[in-house]
Amino acid sequence: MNSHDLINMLATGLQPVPRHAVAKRNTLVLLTGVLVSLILLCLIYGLRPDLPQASQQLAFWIKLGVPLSNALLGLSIVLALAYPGQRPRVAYWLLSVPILCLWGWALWVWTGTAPSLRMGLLWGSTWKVCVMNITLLAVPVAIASLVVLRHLAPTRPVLTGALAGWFAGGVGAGVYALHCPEMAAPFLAIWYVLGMLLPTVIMAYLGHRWLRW
Amino acid sequence: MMEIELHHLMLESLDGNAASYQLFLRQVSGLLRAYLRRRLSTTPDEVEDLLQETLLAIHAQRHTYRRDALLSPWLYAIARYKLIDYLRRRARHEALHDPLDEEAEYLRVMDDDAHASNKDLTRMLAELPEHQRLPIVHTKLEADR
Repeated sequence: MNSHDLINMLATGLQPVPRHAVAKRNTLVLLTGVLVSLILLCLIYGLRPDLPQASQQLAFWIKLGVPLSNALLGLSIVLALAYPGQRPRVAYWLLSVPILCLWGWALWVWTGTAPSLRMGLLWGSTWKVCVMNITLLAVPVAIASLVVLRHLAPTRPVLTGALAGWFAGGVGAGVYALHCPEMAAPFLAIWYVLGMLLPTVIMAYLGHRWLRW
Repeated sequence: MMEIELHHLMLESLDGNAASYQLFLRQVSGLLRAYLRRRLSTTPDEVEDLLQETLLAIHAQRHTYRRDALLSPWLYAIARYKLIDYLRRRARHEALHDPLDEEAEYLRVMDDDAHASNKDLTRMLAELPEHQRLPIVHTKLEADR
């Protein structure tokens, strides 16, 4: 077939593209992912029983805010990368700001604690399950992201996958914070960050496999 | 054709105007053909194939165009993606067939040999009398051509 015939073929029976249809679909699918993650939290782990008291503390809000701001930054870059020719509105280095704040806080707590007590702050009592729990809660959001991205056209599939994983990991960690009893900054600085990195690595690979078009 | 005009045609196409879309794709293929030709100067035969692949991608992904965004970055991002995809496929394909490069040398030597034996044959045939030479030439040598 020559290109002229191809063009005629593509133009016949052209379907209009409804305005905002894609944006609505993205929002719906991603919100479903977040909702499923919250439902999983309630079904598997349950909310922490002292949630009202905990929410009086600044540490709780940092623990919630760092992953969620990561998620929002990741999402805003992913949604730019998914459309050909769009540049992300935020610079990539901004992704490190919430993490650096968390690490700064952790370092401050670490140096201000007697050496004999430091290990307790680092390992907490749930370090073994933390990374896997965050990853599990990230799964619904990761699936939702893949559904959204496969319908779009990311020109850098691996990077897009990785940032979608960062977004999913951020949501997973934020949701898990509603259950997790740990409040020590060093714990969060290590295990929460690893919990967000694992979905990032997995999703970079899945981006390589599934986000080509 | 400039950005503003193409952008206008694209918006009409997104609203389902087939005539605008046809014109749009024709203008775009002119631009993209030039773009691909510059980058595939060693394999000009592939330009048209890749152009069609890119047009299909533009068609399939037209919902990813944001109406308020600039059009050319979108177009060229798709073309670039398809070009890189093609170059990667070709590199992989060539890597699979790497041993052929060594054989190509060997094949060329064979060609030289064939050429030499052809010369010998012509010389020996010339020594034969007419009534023996012509039947051989017509039935054995030219029959293959």
